[in-house]
Amino acid sequence: MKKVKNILFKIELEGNGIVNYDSGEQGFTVSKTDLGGNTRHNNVSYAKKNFYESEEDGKLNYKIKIASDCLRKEIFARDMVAQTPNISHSESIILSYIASPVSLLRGYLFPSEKTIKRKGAISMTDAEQTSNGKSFLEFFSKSGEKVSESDSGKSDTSIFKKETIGNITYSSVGNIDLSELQFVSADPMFDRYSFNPDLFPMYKTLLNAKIGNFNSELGYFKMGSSVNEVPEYGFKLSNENLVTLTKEFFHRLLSTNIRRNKSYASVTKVEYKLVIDPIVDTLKNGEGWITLTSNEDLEKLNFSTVDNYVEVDLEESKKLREEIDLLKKEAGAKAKAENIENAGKKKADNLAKKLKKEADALAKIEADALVNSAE
Amino acid sequence: MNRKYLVLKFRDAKLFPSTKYSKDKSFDLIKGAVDRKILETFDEPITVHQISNILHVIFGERPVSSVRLSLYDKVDTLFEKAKECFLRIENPKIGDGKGGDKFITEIIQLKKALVNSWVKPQYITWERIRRLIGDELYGEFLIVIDELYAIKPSTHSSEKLVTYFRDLTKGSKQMNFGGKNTLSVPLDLDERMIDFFRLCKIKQFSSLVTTFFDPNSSEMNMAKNRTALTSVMGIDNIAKLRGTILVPVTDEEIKKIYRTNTTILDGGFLYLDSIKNESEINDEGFISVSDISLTKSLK
Repeated sequence: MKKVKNILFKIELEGNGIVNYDSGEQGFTVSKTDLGGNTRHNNVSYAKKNFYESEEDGKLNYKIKIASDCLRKEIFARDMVAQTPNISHSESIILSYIASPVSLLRGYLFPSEKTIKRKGAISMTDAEQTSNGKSFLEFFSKSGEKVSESDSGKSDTSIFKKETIGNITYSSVGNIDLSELQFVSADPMFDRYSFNPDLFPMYKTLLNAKIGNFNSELGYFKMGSSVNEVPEYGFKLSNENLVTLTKEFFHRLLSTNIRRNKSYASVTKVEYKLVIDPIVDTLKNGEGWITLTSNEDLEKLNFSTVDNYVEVDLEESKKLREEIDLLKKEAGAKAKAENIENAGKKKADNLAKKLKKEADALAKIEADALVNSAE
Repeated sequence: MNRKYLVLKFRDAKLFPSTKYSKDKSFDLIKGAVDRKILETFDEPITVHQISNILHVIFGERPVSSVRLSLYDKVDTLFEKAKECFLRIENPKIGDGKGGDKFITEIIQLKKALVNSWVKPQYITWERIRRLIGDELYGEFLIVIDELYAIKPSTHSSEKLVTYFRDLTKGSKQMNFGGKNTLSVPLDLDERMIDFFRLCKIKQFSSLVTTFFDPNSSEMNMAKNRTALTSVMGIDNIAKLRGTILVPVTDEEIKKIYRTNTTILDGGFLYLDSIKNESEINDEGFISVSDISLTKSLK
């Protein structure tokens, strides 16, 4: 089986109405388009849009869109944990969250004394309108008690405008970075410390319960394609794990259904392409795309990934890392000394400015005194 | 010689135009957390550093941060190649009201990862009081307020107690814990209540006391592992850039390409559109990457 480097995907969505709104500040931009708009009032809700300049007349056109952030939120919403200190400070809850398919796919950031973070393996564009429908500003009114400090006699009815559209279709493209997905770093050296390696036994138990057949061990790895020989501590997911995670992602993508009070958008079609030759297997090339319309199609998904990370001898790695840690300490000491020196310089500069200001003020007083005595 | 170019296109590359009022942090390898608003950023959205990082990833190398300290260097040949590239950003611009122009921005919802984005409004309930001071002290608290004010959780909401405390005369009576360690309480607060609050202060639960008497205090929301509450969402304005990058390559270099899909800026999707000869390319609107300014400033 040929080795796959990454997986491209295309999605189509169908819906009715607007599911992703922007702030009222868009009014200024929208007033230059066919939609028109009101820049004076802030009671207008505008849909998120991509704006384009017409090559013929320089006029501003637009297409309605669903932001990629909105799509990602819907794909992973049911498993996302809130960023609160009560969770962030609980080691077991954090570990339970990061040892999961969602965290491996989506990425995370928990800042603390030792920040843990992981870059997501999924990148995707905004889902842009593909149908010809034109949106318009619809007028609404709402009855509700208005809370005001004085009895101003104002009505309790509010009026506002909201951008709406009928049936609409969208499309988006994206990529699953198998290189990013494959390796989980437990090393602050490369600024991607994802978890505390001391907790690996518990991490392993938790992840094994969620994806099954997780048998990886911690070790030192270097990037196979890089000239950088510095080994990185962490573990590598097996090919089977990567296939499981990819299926999990596509399953979530197929089930994506954005529901709002008066509108919706749901995924109707997913196509993917296994990229073996990055020059040939591109987005533009129409060959090699496989359609997924149901979870049954997902069962057929299988591939073999390129080994992006190669394990390095343990003793050799430890020796090299000791040298690097020493250099890092020296760099830290140098940075600290520079900070102290800069702080000293800043203090001296401020003092010099203050003295100059006082000297100028004194000179002015003396000059004024001279002028007065002359008069 | 008719050169070949990789035509790389990118979409939805997020740019945060202004960090002036940002409460965000940047996490440096050596310095740790640094306020983002004090970091100077490039005046131009995409510079030779970002293009160089794209080339690093395309040719199978690790990207190197241009903002934070990195313990490994960039590959010089790739950085030099980045200078030979051409860039065109295809977003329309609008007037900024000061005679210049700016990218069109949109609002984005952000997860507030910082652990100290404390919620300001007070949320006082019997359960939160119990979680703050613990079961033992809570038991004593209930006895005191029942005997003094006839207030019980089973018959009254905590709001009644809070209202009672806040209606007391504002005064300068001081609770003294030795030395300069004092706390102002209302003049007509019962001595028995003061004794209980003194006990809270000794056991380091003074946030309960300040919460009862100061409607603007959010100390109770800062008690970690007890009653801490943070604002988990924030909003910001971003510009989503799209454009094209032309990378000059030889046939030998094309064979060494490791991947053609990567990210640019924050979450931008970059992909290979085509490989073209120089004569096939319309260079309208492109600028040389080496001409892009590298000046930095606070935004």
